[in-house]
Amino acid sequence: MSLENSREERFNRLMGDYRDACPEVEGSADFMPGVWRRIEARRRSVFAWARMSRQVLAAAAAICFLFGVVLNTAINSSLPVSSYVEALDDDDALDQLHPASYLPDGDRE
Amino acid sequence: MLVEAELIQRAKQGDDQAYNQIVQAYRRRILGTISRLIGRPEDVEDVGQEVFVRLYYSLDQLREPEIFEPWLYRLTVNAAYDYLRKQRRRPEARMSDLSEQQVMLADADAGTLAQREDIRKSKIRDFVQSLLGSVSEEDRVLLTLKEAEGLSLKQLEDVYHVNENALKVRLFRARQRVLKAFAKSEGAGESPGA
Repeated sequence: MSLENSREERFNRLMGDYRDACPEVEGSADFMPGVWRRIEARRRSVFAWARMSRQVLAAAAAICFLFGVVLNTAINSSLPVSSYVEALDDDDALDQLHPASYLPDGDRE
Repeated sequence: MLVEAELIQRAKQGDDQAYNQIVQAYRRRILGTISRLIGRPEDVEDVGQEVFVRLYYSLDQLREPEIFEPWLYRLTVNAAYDYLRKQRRRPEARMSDLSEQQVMLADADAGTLAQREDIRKSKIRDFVQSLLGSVSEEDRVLLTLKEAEGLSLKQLEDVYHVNENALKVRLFRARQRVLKAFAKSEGAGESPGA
């Protein structure tokens, strides 16, 4: 137990000596300019990211808009514009009957 | 606190002059803390700059200027963690890794009393660093803040955002692990006092 205690004491003393042995660090004259250089560099990279993401967002919005327009046009052109009866009436194929098709009696010669 | 709450408030609102004054006020203390946390003088300035850049970009998240110091300590500890994690992949030769003969040669070169004192301090630093290097980064940082920086439990509570009991348990365990490594190095005659 006393061995443990004396070891703890030696360790505490060692840590005290360590505190005194560590030199005061003042930093060079370039410390503050260096901090500002880093701040500016980080700010530039953040701005670059923001600009790039804005551009990507704008491009995505434009693509979505174009896609919407194209899709809308395609849907509109494939839909029938007239009603079913009008479509039948307009269809010429029914007027040109096949020669072998049935005709009323009066028309036969 | 080394600065007024009003100065912190101004820096929060984007006043660069106020921010500069805060950096000037805390620069020495933070660099000293980093020096003890990472143990590599050549990288202290780099990590210090990173801390103050993080401070610049996170100041607007600080709700009360009164908790500025624990906040800054937290940023410092996180930057030190990041550095230590990166360094784990890049082992370098340090004084404690040199052979005994190389250390004796270095000793012999240092003739004057001041030089001898410098060497003694350097040996202590290297020994403690190697001791702390034998435990996890979390233990290392926690013990350095408590034992070398002299932070109180209350201050550590503010830095770590955990209650006192949890902190005491963590400290006790961390201390036990380092003491184990200390006993081993004493047994091997590696201690600077040996």
